[in-house]
Amino acid sequence: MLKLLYSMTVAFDITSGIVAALVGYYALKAYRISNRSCFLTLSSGFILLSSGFISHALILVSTLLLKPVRVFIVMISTYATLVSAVAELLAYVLIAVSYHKEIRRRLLAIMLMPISLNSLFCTISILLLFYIVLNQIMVYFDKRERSSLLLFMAFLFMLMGKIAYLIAILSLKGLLYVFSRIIYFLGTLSLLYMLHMVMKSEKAEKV
Amino acid sequence: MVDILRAIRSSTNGAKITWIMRDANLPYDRLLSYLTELEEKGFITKRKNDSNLYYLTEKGVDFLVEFEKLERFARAFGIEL
Repeated sequence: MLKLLYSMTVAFDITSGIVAALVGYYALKAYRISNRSCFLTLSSGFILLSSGFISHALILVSTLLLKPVRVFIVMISTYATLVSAVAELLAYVLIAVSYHKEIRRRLLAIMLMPISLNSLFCTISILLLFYIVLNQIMVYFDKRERSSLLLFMAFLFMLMGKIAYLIAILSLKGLLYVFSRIIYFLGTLSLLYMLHMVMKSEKAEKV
Repeated sequence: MVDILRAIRSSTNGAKITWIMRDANLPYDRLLSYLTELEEKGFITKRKNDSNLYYLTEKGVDFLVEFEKLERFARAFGIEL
């Protein structure tokens, strides 16, 4: 069961890492053409997000291959999750900063008392994702384009996945953890579809 | 510069300077300097038999296609290129 859970997490992480790297790459290309700093920040955010996913997956793969004692597996995976959570958090900060640079809206500072370090990072990620989702829905209402709607859905799934993940780690429910990863993965798929759509379509389709 | 490339692309049989001026909304002297730059970079060309008309090169077409992809990508994030 543990092996299946790890394999599923590795597969989701690698796919999410590749998709995030692709978005980062296109943001970097946009920066090279336009020379606008918000694209560089956006690119750094997605590259960091990607590196968090990939490093998490690599640590889990090496743990599976080396087959250490169960207690070490749990310890290593906990540290791996912590490392990727920090990378993820910094990534969301960068993405939120890029939105902030462009849209110029202030984030409300909310003080929370988290139970553990992991839940603290998760809570901050949720707040940042909430901010990103709010900005993206405004972008969608402004542009009325399918790509913006898909990006909104991607961030919304990521937000819902993070909320489910926080509840899962607080209530220690394995099934909820799997559910949270699947929801988060749907966000990655929406991101991938958005990329596919903007790269394929000749003209942006109006909804 | 992208507006110039778009203006040239919209004219299938080559674009005159006056058409480009109108479509890209640029004054004559600035347009000339941009056209020289784009020609030097290999994005546009003039044909030997008709030097009054500008055409997009393959490199220019590729650049415009790539730029428009990135434009759609940026617009999805609510950012204008």
